[in-house]
Amino acid sequence: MELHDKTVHELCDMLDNNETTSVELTKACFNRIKDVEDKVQAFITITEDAALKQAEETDKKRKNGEVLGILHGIPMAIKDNMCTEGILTTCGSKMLSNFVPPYTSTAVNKLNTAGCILLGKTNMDEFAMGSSTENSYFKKTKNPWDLNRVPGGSSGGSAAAVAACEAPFSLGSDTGGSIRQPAHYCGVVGMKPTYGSVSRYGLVAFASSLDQIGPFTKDVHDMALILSTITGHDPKDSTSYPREYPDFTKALNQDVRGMKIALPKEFFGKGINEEVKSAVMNVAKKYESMGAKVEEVSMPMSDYALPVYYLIACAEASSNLARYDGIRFGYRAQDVESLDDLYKKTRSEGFGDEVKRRIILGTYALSSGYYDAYYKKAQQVRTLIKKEFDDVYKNYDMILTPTGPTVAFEFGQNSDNPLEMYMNDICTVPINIAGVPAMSMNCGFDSKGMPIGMQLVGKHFDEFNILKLAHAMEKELGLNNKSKL
Amino acid sequence: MQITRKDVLHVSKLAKLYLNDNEVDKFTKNLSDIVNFADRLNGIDVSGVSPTAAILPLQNVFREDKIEKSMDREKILQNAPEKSYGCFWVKNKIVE
Repeated sequence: MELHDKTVHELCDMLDNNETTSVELTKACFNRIKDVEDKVQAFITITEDAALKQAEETDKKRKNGEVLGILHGIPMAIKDNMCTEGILTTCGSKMLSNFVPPYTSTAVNKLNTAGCILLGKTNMDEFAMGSSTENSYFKKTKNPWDLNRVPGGSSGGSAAAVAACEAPFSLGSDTGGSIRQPAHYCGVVGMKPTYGSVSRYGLVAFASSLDQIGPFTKDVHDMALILSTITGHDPKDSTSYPREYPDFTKALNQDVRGMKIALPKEFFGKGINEEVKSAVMNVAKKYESMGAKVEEVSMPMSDYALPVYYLIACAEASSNLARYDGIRFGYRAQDVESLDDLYKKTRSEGFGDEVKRRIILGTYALSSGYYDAYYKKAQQVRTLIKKEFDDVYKNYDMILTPTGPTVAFEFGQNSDNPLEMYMNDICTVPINIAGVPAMSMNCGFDSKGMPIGMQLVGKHFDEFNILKLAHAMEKELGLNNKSKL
Repeated sequence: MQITRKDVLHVSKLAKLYLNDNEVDKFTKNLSDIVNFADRLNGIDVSGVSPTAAILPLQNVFREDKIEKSMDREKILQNAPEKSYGCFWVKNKIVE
């Protein structure tokens, strides 16, 4: 096994035992990037010189006995919608193709402070709007398991970078499934933490009441390590929740006997591929044999989650994206006639198709005469969806579902029909609407060898039990999660 | 509900977007599809249900009223397409 194949916790142990150095690890990642990046196309920006310099400094500190944290010297990749001071942050858009942030987002800052090394910024659907990363202004990222298929989206670059072993771990963001769905497609672990547990300061806003940053890792142990580092209250984000966040590694190697797991039948119904369904049902049976109690429940409101999600997310996006006016930062159109012309020309030239489509839907849902019928109605149904989750959690510790209706699809398959593309999010959007935490983890493969993800959905701030159940199942399944790339 | 080209043109004006004829056609169809899909919410009785804007029980988050260091002007201006005299700069064609 080569260095780039190893997990974060294996690399941490090697660093602690002086079996390797951060420079060696960082070089191993860049060598891997040189070998496979032509095929995978996971990165928009690669920061090799800065990374090697930072790795040298990190090694020097370690030599002097100054270890910043558990992750001291571990390389990472970051989705290109998180601000990194002095490093291009494009959000996958022409609008921000020249944007070099003057500050660093809190989540990335926490990892920097813990001693992590930034390898580069990863590709994504423009402004995180999409389910395949095909909406990036820059390039199309390929699925490392099958280069003819999409990696999922919107954090497709971050998922593919970990699946292709270009980076030991990465960060993504999830508004309606943008971490979990690409994790499912690429056979890695991806977590959307509870809304409010990871600061959104410095994350380019898409839909502020739904967006949340989270990690992609190769296994559950790594997820516990990264999550322990990035969670926490941040005064710079007024929606960040002040509470104690646990050491999530304590969730590993625990007994799951007596835990109560709900299987909502609506998540296993129409449109869910049979192979996906049977892989997740296999997991449910295994949990039962491990001593957990598994029962079918009904969550009928989840059938309404998709329209609620698209109304709320697009309304918030139309408001958030009003800031792109060509005046203070980002792209500015030339040869304009007036201020209004400057705004309109800048936005028409700077935004891609999907972003325009969502701005138009969101503006429509907020416009006079339609606000009550669409936006307010969606927010009221949001209350009912959240209540349905609360009701299930009165009797159960966890909800188990597939992460998506199918495995990764081929390029172009859904790109002509927005509504069909949106259907890929059917299992993931209810979670953002309710604000609860959820994680996708590989639980098997279909007949063509494509990974299948299972989704564990916990109570608010109960990432701990998600990791506990996930780690137990990871050990039980013992799958080889490595793509052949 | 049927969305017309006129609706899309009205909304694009509100959103400060120019759309060409192709885009107007395409977005009229897309918006109709999505709005029709959203109309399935009409069957739900929401009388007396209060809307949820945010999921956490956080309200009125204040900070201490004390002066802290803010970002340098140069840093704030570093991404401006045009700047002059320490300000964002827009050509004076803005007078209509």
